[in-house]
Amino acid sequence: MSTRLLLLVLASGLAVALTGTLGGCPAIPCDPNTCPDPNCPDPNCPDCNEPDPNAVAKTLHQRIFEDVLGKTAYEGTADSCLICHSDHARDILESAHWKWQGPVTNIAGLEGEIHGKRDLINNL
Amino acid sequence: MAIASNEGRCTQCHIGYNWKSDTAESFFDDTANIDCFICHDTTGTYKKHASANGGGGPAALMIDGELTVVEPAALTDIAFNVGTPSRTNCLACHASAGGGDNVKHGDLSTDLIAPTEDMDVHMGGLNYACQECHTEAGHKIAGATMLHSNEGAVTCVDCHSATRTHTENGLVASLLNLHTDRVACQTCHIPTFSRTQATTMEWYWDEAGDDDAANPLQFGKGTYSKKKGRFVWGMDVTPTYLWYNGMWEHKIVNVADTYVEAGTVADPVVIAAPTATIADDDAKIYPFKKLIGRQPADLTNKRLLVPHLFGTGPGPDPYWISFDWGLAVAEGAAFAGQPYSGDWAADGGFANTVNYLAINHEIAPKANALACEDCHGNAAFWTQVGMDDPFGS
Repeated sequence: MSTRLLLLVLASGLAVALTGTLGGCPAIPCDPNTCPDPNCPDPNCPDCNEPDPNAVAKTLHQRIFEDVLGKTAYEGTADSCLICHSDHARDILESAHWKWQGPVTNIAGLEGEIHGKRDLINNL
Repeated sequence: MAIASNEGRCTQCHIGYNWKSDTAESFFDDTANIDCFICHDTTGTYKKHASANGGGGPAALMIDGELTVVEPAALTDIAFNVGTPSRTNCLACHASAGGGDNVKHGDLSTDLIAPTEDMDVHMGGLNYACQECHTEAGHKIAGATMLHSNEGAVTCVDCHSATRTHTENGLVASLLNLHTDRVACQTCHIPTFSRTQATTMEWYWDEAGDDDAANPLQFGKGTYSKKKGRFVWGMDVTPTYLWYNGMWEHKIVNVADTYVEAGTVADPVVIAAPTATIADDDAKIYPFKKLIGRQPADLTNKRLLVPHLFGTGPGPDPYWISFDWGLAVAEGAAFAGQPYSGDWAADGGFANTVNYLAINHEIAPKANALACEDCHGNAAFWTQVGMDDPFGS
């Protein structure tokens, strides 16, 4: 083993020994009964020092709203959803569900013309 | 009947907010108008109001039993729980086409949210979400409409073999496989439609407007409404069988809204129908729902006219306020840009129509598929498809 690698292994071993953790949580699966880190970033590892029996795990989007965006409430498509999902939004603008019309393929003589729900006539 | 002049009501099922009759084309270029929750709500509580604020589908919740338009903050719990669409999301709109549960399609009702295997083998037995077959890519969702299939089509052979279609019980399988060139899967495997809930088979708009009409129930559904006229419902309906190769004819405002038929019961105006015939090598026999009715038309010039039904943007006299067809049709036709004298007494009236709709859902377990004698020996079937029964009398 090279000297540099040996030093790295010793250093990380020392770090584990001093703090009892590697990267914040124990390297082994977090056991709430033994985890010494109250700020364990593993969302499935509850606060070991004061586990709350009534706590409901936050959903992914609740964690994103509250912990990442710092928002307590939904603020509408533009100010909430599009912060992360603007790519999907641009895709939507090109879709049939959005436009309610599209290039005709199934009516002889109208191929390529833009028609659809917006301008068809039915008996309903 | 068409969306033009009625946008505020019809767009309750648009995936955006605030598409009204006076909405500019630029609306469609603004991502801020998108409604993400209509597809991505997983709580089942998200609603859109049909008519508040002039329509256009503002977000709403049921509060104390009343459908109530709400501010964004009230949707926070919905926002925290967004997820992959389920059948509940899709069917909220696709099962209520035509203005009520299973009114239009005949093979899509909210019964398919929690179906048994008998009701549909894919949605019931296998609990497939819609997008298992109607695959999504970049928010484009596969599934042909009568007009376009630019987001992809869905066919049985996407998953089921086209070459070794039937494989069990060798002799029977061989006989069945003799049919697959000219008989579509849906024909035998959807023996009837609307098996658990009735669908509209006839819709007479001309009978609307009566405050005193009786409203007897048929299959548990009302047959008369002052706003809409008279309905005839059907349940466990035997399909109409037609040759089909993917091509349609369809009435379209200003492009194809005149007609050559007499517009009588015996010779109704064709709203939409497959155009293939037995002579088309690529055509197969498919099942369809046949929906007949009567709707406003310029009888002098033989043109179906768009009536203004909802909202006062396009004019003060939509039918659902004025209950006057003359005024409502004049406003609707003008808004849609159709040539029309506006003189209901001279030119207006009602044409009889027929509309064929494809049947693709409510796929029955194979034990319940059509049997030989359902077609062979059934003269009505051979008259419909225009050929002689090879085993008939």
